[in-house]
Amino acid sequence: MDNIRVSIVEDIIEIREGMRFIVNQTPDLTCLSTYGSAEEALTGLMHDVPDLCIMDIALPGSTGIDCIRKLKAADSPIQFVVFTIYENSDQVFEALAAGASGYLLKDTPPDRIITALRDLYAGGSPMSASIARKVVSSFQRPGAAATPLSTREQEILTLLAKGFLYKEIAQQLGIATGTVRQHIHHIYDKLHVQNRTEAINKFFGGPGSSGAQGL
Amino acid sequence: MIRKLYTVSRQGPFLLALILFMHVAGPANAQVTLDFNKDSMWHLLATRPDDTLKVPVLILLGQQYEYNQPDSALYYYDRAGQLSKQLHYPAGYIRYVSNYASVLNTRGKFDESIRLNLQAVDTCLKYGLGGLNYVRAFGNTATAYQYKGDFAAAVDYYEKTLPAAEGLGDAQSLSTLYNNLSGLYRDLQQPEKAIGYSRKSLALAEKSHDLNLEGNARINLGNLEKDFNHLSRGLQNIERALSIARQLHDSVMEETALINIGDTYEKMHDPARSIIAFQKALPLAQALKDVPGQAHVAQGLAVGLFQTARYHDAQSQLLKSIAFDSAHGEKKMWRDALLLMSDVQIALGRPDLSRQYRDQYDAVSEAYLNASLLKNIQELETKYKVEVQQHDLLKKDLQLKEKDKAAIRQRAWLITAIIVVALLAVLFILTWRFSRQRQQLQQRTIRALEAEQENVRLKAKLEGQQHERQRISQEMHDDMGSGLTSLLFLGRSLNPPDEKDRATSRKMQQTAEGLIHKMNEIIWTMNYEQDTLDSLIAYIRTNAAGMLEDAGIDFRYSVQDPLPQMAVNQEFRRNLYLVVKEAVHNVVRHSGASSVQIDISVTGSTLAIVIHDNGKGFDPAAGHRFGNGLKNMSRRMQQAGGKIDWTIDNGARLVLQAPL
Repeated sequence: MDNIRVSIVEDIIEIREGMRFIVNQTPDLTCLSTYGSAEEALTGLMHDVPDLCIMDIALPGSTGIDCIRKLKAADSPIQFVVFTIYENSDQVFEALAAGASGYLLKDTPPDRIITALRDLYAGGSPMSASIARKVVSSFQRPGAAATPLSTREQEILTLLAKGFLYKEIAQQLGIATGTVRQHIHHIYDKLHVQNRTEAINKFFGGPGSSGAQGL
Repeated sequence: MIRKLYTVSRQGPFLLALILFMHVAGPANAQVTLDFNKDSMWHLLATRPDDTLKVPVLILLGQQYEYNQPDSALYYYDRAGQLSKQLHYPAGYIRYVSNYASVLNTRGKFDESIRLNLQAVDTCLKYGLGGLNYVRAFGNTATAYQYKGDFAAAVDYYEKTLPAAEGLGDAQSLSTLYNNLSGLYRDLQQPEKAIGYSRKSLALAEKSHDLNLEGNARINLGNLEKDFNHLSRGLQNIERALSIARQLHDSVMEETALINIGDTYEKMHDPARSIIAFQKALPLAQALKDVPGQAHVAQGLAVGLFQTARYHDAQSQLLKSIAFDSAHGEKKMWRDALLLMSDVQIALGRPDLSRQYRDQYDAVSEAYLNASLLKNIQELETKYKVEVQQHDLLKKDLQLKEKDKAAIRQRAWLITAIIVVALLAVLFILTWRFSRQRQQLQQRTIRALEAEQENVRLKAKLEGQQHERQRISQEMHDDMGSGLTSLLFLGRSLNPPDEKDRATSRKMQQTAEGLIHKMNEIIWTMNYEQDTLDSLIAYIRTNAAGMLEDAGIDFRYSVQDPLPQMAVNQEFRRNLYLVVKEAVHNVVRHSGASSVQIDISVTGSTLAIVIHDNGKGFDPAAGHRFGNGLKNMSRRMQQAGGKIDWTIDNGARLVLQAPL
């Protein structure tokens, strides 16, 4: 089995190198590339395509969110992991809506960083109660189409918003914890779709407005 | 000429009879109603609704007045006409016309009468009325024309009346009609027709065995025949009339017959028989006090005597005649007598006396002409007076109407004024209410605006605060977060061989981790998006669960579902979170428990969090550290307006309560 190729975008060199060290220390992970800015990352990641990309948000110049959005708009297959200190920020949610599949807290111990990366690669995602709430309200926004979420996904979101741990949710719904993570991953995918549709609607005037008639 | 005049005067009553007939022969009860007094009729008028039966009552009432107070009669007739029009009652309308027009006729207003009667004729034709109504309309029109002297038109209308009148089968009216036609045709010099109608009249009289009618008819017929030189036939008819008159002891008819016989014989140049007839007529005329009759007879006698050359007898007869005529003002007869006297004097060989009488004749002739002129003048004066009266009446009517109008105008003004005042009042009230409402609305708007302003101010203040918090969070996150993370990673990158240094490195990493964690907590607390109760509970849950899981302690949650949707302030969130964290920390660090049960509920407006572990429990007085922790928790709960209780019950049971 090929190693999971990881790229790291982080402007602070200590952290970037620390992360590279952690990744490279792990047998099934390889650090493909590291970038100190979103601009560098954008050109680099187009050609040198990793499996996962750990993306810091606050970068000099354009943000990590812009970088994710642009690459996702170009149908990049990279799975982005937002690298953040504080998980409940609007920026994290924005990055998730722009196309990130998960996030990683910067104070996470190294062994957990590895677990999280492996989980993400396997199609599982983390989600805090606060983000779950934001996701729910994002799908319930007036003007949004009938929710694309399945009943199970909605159940999971509801429990997450109440502060249930994955373990608890798995127990309550009678499914494996990994399945919960995968559901969350799907929810993020739907969030991207919704977000992109929204962006298109914004651009062309949205459904029901006169601008749409021209198309 | 003399005889003709006499005959016409005989025709007067017939015309009058026709008109009277038209009045009375209407409803069968007319005669009965005539006996009613006027009061009862007025009562009837006042109480009855306006129906067709009112019309005859009004007509009858008018008829009561017709000969004394014709204006009142006109008034009631007029009302009858108005009512008939209003009720579309043509028969009533025709009755109104016939009555009204008869009054007009007596006032000499023939044109007006004709116009009115023609309207009746139109009505008759329009509604296809026949019988009595038709006879009335057409007959009265003819009569009016006759009065006016338009004989051709009169004849035309009488002829049109005839078939309907014949159909009615009323002998008297038909007879009158024939007589009128006969007279008119005589005046129009159409002897055939005149005699024809006269014969019809006679035939009718014979058929109805009415001797009176027959006598009069025979006199008329005889006169006509005499005038148109059928003298012997005329004589026969008049002589028949004479015998009828004697049979009926009708001295008027007898006198008339005898005078006409005298005239006829005179015309036949048989003065002897003429004298006999006049001599017989004389006592009758005297007995009847018939002045014109007496004058006529005297004249007839004188003519007869003159023609038989008995000039002296003629002279004495003429002297009596002249005296009588001058005494009774019979100027025409007087004049004729003077002329004859002049002739007699010539015959007696007295030309001077003859000239004298001739002069007298001229004078009287003049006087006679003057008299007829005077009569015309008098007639004109009477007409004028009537006109004046009519005018006055109209003026009074007009004044009355003006007064009525004025009253109506005044009433209209009054009503208008009342309406205007009412409208003004309504307008005033509406305006007042409107202005009051507007004032209230304005006040409300002002209050609302003030409230909104206050709101905006508060919101701005809050937003400012939030903005400030956000800024602090952001800076903390960006700068301190990055620094601490760098520190953490730097610590990790150190790999000192010395155990003591390794411990220091670990310590450094832990401190950095702790600081990051604390910083995150502060950011969370300051984040206004997390200002809700369920957000707080979820945060508490996640963090406590994380700690317990890391420590390998089993945990079970029971959280009231759903939690009330409400906001909780920053201070409260911070205190509650920290107290629960401390409690869970104590469980992990000191209790030695293997499982924890956490119950979160809201009762009324009190939040209760119960943390029950199965550890060894604690003695608050025992451990210095532990005691400090409890004191700290207690202080925080007090800050949140709540309290902390604990019991030892198979481990420690901590109860946190705080009002929301």
